[in-house]
Order: sequence, then structure tokens, then C-alpha cells
Amino acid sequence: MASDRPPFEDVYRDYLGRIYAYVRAQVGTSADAEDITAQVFMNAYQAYDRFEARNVTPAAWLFRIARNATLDHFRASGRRDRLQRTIEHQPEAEHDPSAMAEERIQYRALLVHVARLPERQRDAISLRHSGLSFEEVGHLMSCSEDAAKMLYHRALRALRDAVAGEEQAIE
Amino acid sequence: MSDNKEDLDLQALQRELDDAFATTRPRRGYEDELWLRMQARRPLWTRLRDAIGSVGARFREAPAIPLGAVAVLLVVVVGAGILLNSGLRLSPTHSSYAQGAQAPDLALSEFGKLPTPALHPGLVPAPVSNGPSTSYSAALDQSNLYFGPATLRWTGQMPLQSVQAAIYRYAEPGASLADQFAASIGASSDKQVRSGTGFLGTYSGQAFILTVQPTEPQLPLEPYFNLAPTSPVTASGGPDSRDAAAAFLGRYSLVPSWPNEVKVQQSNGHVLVQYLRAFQLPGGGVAYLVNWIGQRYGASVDINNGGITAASGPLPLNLDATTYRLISNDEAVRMALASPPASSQAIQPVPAVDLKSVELVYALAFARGQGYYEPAYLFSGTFSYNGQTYTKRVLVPLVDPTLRS
Repeated sequence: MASDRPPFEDVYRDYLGRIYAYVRAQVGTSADAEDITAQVFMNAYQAYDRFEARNVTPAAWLFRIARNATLDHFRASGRRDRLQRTIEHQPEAEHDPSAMAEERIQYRALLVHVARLPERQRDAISLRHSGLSFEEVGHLMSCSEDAAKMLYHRALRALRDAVAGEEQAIE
Repeated sequence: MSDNKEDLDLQALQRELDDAFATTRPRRGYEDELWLRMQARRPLWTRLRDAIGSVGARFREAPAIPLGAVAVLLVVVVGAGILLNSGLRLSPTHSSYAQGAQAPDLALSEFGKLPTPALHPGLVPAPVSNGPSTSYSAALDQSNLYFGPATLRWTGQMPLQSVQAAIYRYAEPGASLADQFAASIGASSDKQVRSGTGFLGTYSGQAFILTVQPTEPQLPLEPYFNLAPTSPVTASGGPDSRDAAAAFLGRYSLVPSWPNEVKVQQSNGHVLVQYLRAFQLPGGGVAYLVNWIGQRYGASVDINNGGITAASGPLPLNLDATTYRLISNDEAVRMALASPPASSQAIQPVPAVDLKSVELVYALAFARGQGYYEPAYLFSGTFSYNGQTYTKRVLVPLVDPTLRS
């Protein structure tokens, strides 16, 4: 076992919240987010013996697993159906104070907009704001660091427009 | 829109996104719940390896585990795993969490309200008067233990991490299970052997008598067996008492399958070999089971002048497992300092005791026909009185008080 590898429980405690937030920004319900997060850490736990801390940070390693698990989730259930459920479920949940307290989400509306972005834009936003560097984002998304920056900024503008569009509609 | 205005808008949005991702977290309890599930789903051999390894690393010697005993362990581990998984799986009931129901507390209390484990010292320093008349009680030594009123102060160091520990439950066995157990070690029911109330069964085998007793709820003490050779059996397995005890238990596939520490006490030709029972913790390590006066216990073998005279231990039972919300370490300290004395028998003047050490233990509580092994902190401190050193123990159950009856 590599001596520079931290105990898995430390990795788990350090990253559970971030991984959950990343997943939660992609999917419609906290139940789905918990399912996927559980799968991420189950997979990570089983693979931890093969994790090489010298080659990759725990964050990049875990977010790769999380990204794959989320993509698998969408593939399995049909992304379009999932997005539809996202749109349908979020407003309902917002009206349920106990659910909001349970989930501990303070920016629900914003995350709904993130979830509605095109897949790669959504991924770039989520990975970047989960604390990854552009280099790590690019590596995970199989593109260069510069391409990741461009993708991120394009996503940021799209998100701003979406939020502004909704605000105008409300007014 | 000017470039400057757009930049400011985007920067504000970035800050909002930072906040959104930093504050989105799973529901409370999910972290510990998932960790327990992961532990339960680990490959069986790694759990066994760790269970054996952790005990082996801490103690000089662990008994050999025969296939029969391993089979019992597998039943317990797999049973616990299945229950952990079924209770905590992201199932249809789980999905209801997001619907705003009060699901988490329900999910963490599938055994219902738990009885509260406590110390029941009885009179001090009188010996236990209502304990079982087996080698179970032979090792009990509560001299210099004090359970009366005291002015308590905490001066020790609490563990940095909060406790993760499962709750285990057994259903009170009936006579048929005792019969099965007896048959598994080659004994059959024999009404002539011994009669009396309070036994699940009395049996005889080849040159031994077996009794099986139900839970003793007043202590409490789980169902246990007592196997007594009709004449002392010459200890085999070598000169080491541990080997002799293991060989004797192994003959009946009774070597404990649970994590344990082997402890040997000798006095005037009498040797007591104890297998102090422990429970595996999700994060690694074990917590020992303590009895009604806070002493570790488990199975034991009596050896007198080189001959084995008795063996006793808990009846092998299937255990269900689940998790409950546990209190924080700080709260445990507050509860320890505020806890009422376990005994009213007091020393005057009331002693001041610095509680200096704390140990995570398991303690048994019994209610409604079921026994519950629950995690607790056992605080200890010493003080002097009339030239003698006494030990004060305080047991603090770790299951949240709102989930206990």
C-alpha cells in the first residue's frame, strides 16, 4: 500500500459534502443525489487500493468517479426524462419547508438553472465550483486547460442569461 | 451591457455559485449512515481479516477459530450486513426523505425506542448476590468499585472524532433454540439431569452436563450456556492455560467467533481463562462489552488443578444491526458529570472524583423480549478513602436520549 495515501475515511469525510453538492447540481432530487453519492464512495472504497496519490489528487480521482457515476445515472434512466423530472420536482420541493431543511440547499433555484445547462457546460460549472482547478476540469473533461476555461466562461454567461431571463419573466 | 457591468455580474454570479456549492450538503446523518453501509458491504474476508487482525494486533494471542465458529460468525456478519443494507438502502422508503417526511429519524431508529443500558452494582462491596452461579460470575470482582454519590469533574481527554457504532439486537430465544444448540454440541435433553425454573433447557452429553439459561433481565445478562464435565477433564493442548481452554472449547465448536481478548487469571491452582467479548467498530478497532458493573466479560473456562471443570458463555444468537443517532462527545461529558449515582450507598463525606479516562464500550439493555447491545462511554476515575483506592465508574449511553425509552 502506498505510504502517501491518506486513510480512506479521511478522504471520505473530506469530500463527501463536495461530491454530494456536485452530484446534486446535476440531478433533480436529493434521493437521486444520495444514490449516486453512495455509489461514488462505494466504488471509490473498492478501488482505493489502486489509487496512486502521486499521480492524481484525491479530488480529481473522486470527481472522475462521480462524473462517471452521474453519466451512468443519466444513461440508465434517460437524460430527457431526468431533466423533465428535474423541472417538475424542483418547484414542488421548494414549497416544502421540511424538505428544504432536510436537504440543506440554500441556492435551490440557482442549482436548478445549473442542472438545465447543456451537459458539458453544466459539468464545467459544477466541477469548477466544487473546487477543482481548470487544469483538473480539463483533464476530467478530456480537453485542455484553456478549452476548459472557455467552456466554463461560456457556461457562466449562459447561466447568467438563464437567471436574468427568469427574473424578467417574473417581473 | 458594458463590459464592466458584465464582468461585475459574472463575478457576482461566481460568488453565488461558490456559496451554492459550499452550502449544498446531504441531510444530517447521511454521512455516518453511508459510512456504515460501506463497512457492511466490504468483502466478507476483509472484514474477517480486519476483525481478527485488529484483535491480534492488540493482544498477544487470540484463540483459533474452528470452522463451526466461523460459520456462526458468518451468520452474524451477513445478517448484520443484510439488515444494515436493507435498513439503510436507498429504497422506496428512502425516496420519501426528499418528500419532506420525518424520515431520517425513523430510518435511524428502526428498532424503535431503545431501552437504556445502565450500571446495576447492587450493594458495594458485597459480592453479586443475584448473579449466575457459573464461571460467568467467578471473575467478578467489584471490590474497590464505588457507585455512590460523588462530586465529579472531567479532567481527561475525549477522542477527537465522534463515535460511529451500530446497535445490535437479539430476540430472546425459546427452548427450541436451546435444544438446537445442545444438539449441535452432542447433548440431548435430560430431565433427570437438573430441574428447576429459570432454565431454557438442561441436557446431558458424553461426560458433560449442559444448561442453557435465558436472559437475566435484572442485571441484565444475555442467554448463556454452562457446560460442566461430569468429572474434571485433563487439560490438553499444552501447558498454556489458553491453549487448554481453546482445545476444550474447540472440541464442541464453542471457541468464540466474535472479536475478543483472552485474559487469564490464576489463584491457588484455579485458573480462569476469559474471552472478553468485543464488537467491531465501523471505522476499525473494537469496543468491549461490559457488564452491570462496567467490567468486560464474555465466555470463560474454569481450570482447577489442571482439570477443566466448566465452560460458559453467551448462547450463539443471530444479531440484527442498525444505526441510531448518537450524541456528541461533548454531550457525553456533560451527561457523565450530571448522571445520578448508580447506587445510593454513599461514602461520607461525598468524595470528589476526577474522571480521567473514558472507554467506548458496549452494554446490554433488555426490554420487550429483546436484548440490545448499545454503545456507551464508560468514564472512570479514582479516589482515596481510608487508605484505599476506589474506582468510580459512570456509564453514559450514546444513543440520543430522545430515541431511548
